[in-house]
Amino acid sequence: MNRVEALEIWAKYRGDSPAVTGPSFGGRVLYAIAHRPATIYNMELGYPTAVCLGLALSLPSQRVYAVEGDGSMLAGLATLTTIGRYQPENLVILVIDNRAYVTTGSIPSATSAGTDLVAIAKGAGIAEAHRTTDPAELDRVMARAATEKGPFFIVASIEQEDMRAVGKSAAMPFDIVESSIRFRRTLEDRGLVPPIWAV
Amino acid sequence: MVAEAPPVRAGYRHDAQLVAATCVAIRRAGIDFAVHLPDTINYPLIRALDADPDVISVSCSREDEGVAIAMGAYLGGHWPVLLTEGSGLGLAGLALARAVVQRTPLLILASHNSALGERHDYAAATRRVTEPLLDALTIPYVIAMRGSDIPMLIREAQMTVHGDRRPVAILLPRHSLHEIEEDRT
Repeated sequence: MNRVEALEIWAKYRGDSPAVTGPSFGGRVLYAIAHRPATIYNMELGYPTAVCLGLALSLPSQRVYAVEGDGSMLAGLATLTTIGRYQPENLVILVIDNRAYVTTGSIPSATSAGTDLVAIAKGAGIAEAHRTTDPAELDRVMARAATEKGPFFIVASIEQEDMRAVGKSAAMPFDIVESSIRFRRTLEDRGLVPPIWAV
Repeated sequence: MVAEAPPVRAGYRHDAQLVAATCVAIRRAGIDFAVHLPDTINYPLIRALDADPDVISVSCSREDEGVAIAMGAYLGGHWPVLLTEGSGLGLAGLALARAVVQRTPLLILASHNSALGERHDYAAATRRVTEPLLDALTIPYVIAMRGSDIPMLIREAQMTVHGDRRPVAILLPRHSLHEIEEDRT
């Protein structure tokens, strides 16, 4: 399984739901595959899942999706303990694990040395924690995550990537400020959050 | 030579009326989402907010995580408050910077500060991060000099949070919420 395959499966189940992605070229890949307006790209390392936790607790009627890299998830492990504590049923976390900081020189990450993110998630109290290398299996787990009670923590262990090949992706036509405003406006337009009045 | 007995550490006692008034002010300011990590000053506020059925109250494991959770809460339609020790702001610099850039309305109640009521040697690092971090990120802040001012400060700070769409901090020295024995004698 490669990154594009994993993200295509994820996008199929995510639909238009709110999502936050971590830093890396992976955000641009996702933008090219299936951009949706309720998306914040390039959240700082370690925080996409925490932002999604706040969203999930605020919007219990909505499925909320975090997309992490292994590096960002390693930086934000403490959030898994908070998720274990509050058990938001509507939170789905997908970790694209390429076992390296590919965007920044392909230095190996801790998962390359055996750190088991699924074991950590289970230890934090997230029962629905899964790891897969197979697209069909990822599809099955994502289907469950999109319909059943979570939280779900899914590690898609992908093939090692060559940045020179996979890193060629188009820039996004908006910045992080606009994307966050658009994110909130999108939820307003759906009647999910109140407008913020200027007074 | 026999060493002298070490000084007895002072206990803390909160002013219950001030704690209650502070929580009322938080709710009246429209805040309905609290994320927090406890310290010796803010824990009664956390207990009170936890007990309020109209507040989503979240105990986080790190303060930077708390800032990120608050970002999500705002995007999800809530008005958040972060209760943290000042040291937690030191940990949360990057997350707060993102919150500023994204124009995240967030009231911060940060215990401890650089100048007042900091008797413990082990708070040496804590004392050095709160105000410099807020200054570096151009996050406006005030220090609550009198506990009785806290409800007014919350009301006024939250107006700025609304109007400026960014974090504003109120710093709580220990005397602002604690009853202090020597002051009452």
